[in-house]
Amino acid sequence: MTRRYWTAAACALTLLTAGACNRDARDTGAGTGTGTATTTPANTVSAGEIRLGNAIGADKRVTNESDDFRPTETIYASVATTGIAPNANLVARWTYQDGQVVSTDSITIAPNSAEYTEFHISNPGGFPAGDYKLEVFMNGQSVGTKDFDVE
Amino acid sequence: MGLLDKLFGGKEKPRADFSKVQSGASSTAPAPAAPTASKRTYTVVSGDSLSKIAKREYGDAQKWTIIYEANRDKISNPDLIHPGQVLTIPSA
Repeated sequence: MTRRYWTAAACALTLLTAGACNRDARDTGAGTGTGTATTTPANTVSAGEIRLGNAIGADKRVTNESDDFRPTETIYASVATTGIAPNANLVARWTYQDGQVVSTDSITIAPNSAEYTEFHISNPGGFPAGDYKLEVFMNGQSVGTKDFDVE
Repeated sequence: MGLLDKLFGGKEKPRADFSKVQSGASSTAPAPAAPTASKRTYTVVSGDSLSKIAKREYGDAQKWTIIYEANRDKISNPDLIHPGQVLTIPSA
């Protein structure tokens, strides 16, 4: 404890003397003695790419990307997220061309790093042909849309 | 419905039926940790009863059953608690 204190103090003194006080190091209080600040990831998570396809792997990533589907296919959407949060709510809203909501699904996750979340829909009787849209929300905010067709 | 349909009595196209759609979601990310219920303990003193403790803890003597259920391993007869017994007081 004492050694860390003196190491941090020496680092601060060195930085001040050099006129190059590192704001990040001061903010995080994480002086390492090398002048390199380490930042702890905040409780933030952001959504990345949304991919559609008719199959996914165990890693929840789409393995066969497509935006044209047959009526009886299961349609998968894989949403990439990055960041760390104790909880983040993802919602997928699937809509038909006339605005009808086909399905709305929600999942709450506690992402630790780069993660993938999949949503899927299927219709035993077959989806009607037409244009569809998927909109993904994270914590209530829209984070992306994907259009696709059923033929 | 189009103008011609209206003029010639055409039928409106039925809405697509999505009532049998099956859906789901899963993630590589773990689910959030379930919140742990807050619990306190109370040490029984002479003259206490479950309803008295419930009145003091919850403001409602009728809630004695909450304490009883949380302490079934310690209380065989709800009318008989002993000084020194440490009871779990769940959040109401």
